Amino acid sequence: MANPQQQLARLAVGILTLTRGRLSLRATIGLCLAAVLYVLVLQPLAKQTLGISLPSLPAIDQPADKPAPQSRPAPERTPRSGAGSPTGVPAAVDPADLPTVLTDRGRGVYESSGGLRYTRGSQQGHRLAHVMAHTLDEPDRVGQHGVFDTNDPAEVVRLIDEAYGLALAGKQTTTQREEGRTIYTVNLRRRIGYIGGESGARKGHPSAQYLKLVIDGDRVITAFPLRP
Amino acid sequence: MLSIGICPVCAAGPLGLRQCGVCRRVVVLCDECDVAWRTDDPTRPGSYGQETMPCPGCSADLWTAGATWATREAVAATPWLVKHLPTLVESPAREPQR
Repeated sequence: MANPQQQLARLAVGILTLTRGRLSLRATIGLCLAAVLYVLVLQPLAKQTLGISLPSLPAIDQPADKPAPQSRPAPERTPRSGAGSPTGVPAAVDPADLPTVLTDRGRGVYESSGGLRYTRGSQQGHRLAHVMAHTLDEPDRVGQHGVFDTNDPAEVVRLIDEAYGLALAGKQTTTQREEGRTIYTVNLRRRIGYIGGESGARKGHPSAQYLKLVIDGDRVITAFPLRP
Repeated sequence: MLSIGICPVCAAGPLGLRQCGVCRRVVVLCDECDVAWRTDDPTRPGSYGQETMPCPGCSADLWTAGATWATREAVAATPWLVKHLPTLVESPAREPQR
């Protein structure tokens, strides 16, 4: 059993954490006073007069099922670099692990809710892995290498869907067509990443709010943040 | 990887020099948007990758089938590339993850 001082300290921290913004100041103070009364008066009195050990107050922590808040990226953060990893690319991503954003169409083809298909292909072996190579900087890569702020594959897929939707609607988009490619440059009007690679490093990794989306029909070829 | 510029299609990927594992041609390849050309003239028709990256010379897959990034020796042995030798840019190669 914890001593009264430890119980009170843990309890006070727990109460303040849990009730922040939910209870009025008066209610919070009342709750703390009740706890003090229990630990300092009721518990010793029950033990002295009745010989009963009342249970200690439990430590109140944040609920275990609530994920720890993820820190949001600073506007001009230190770039995540793949230079230190053996492959220079993020850990392998399996599109089958993203059932909320991608539907398995068989033979390695996954379709997003926005109607884009991610298929086998590219030097990474799958287009989703190719796109996810843009969640890490490659400081030695020639030219600019757009890097997404998020490294969550589901968020990246949703972002690309959002850009594709704007492109299909002809909003905030410039379109270029080559023989086997359609290239959309979509202004998402908010920061989505930054410019890495050799060129980005020279310029201090400027932020990017455009997304370049290269498709072949409805097949994603590549997508990455861009600063035109 | 040796490269001779930036891809005119995606405006981001380096134009790398890839040697086909079957016909042994050195071709120009953007590893970002998977477009390849037989020569350094991107206004001529290219070859567009989907599930594979067909060599513009023989259609063998440039990501498998023994293809590699071209060496300086291979570039020097390719007449249309010789003029690029003094200005070739060398950067760490990303080899296929297959």
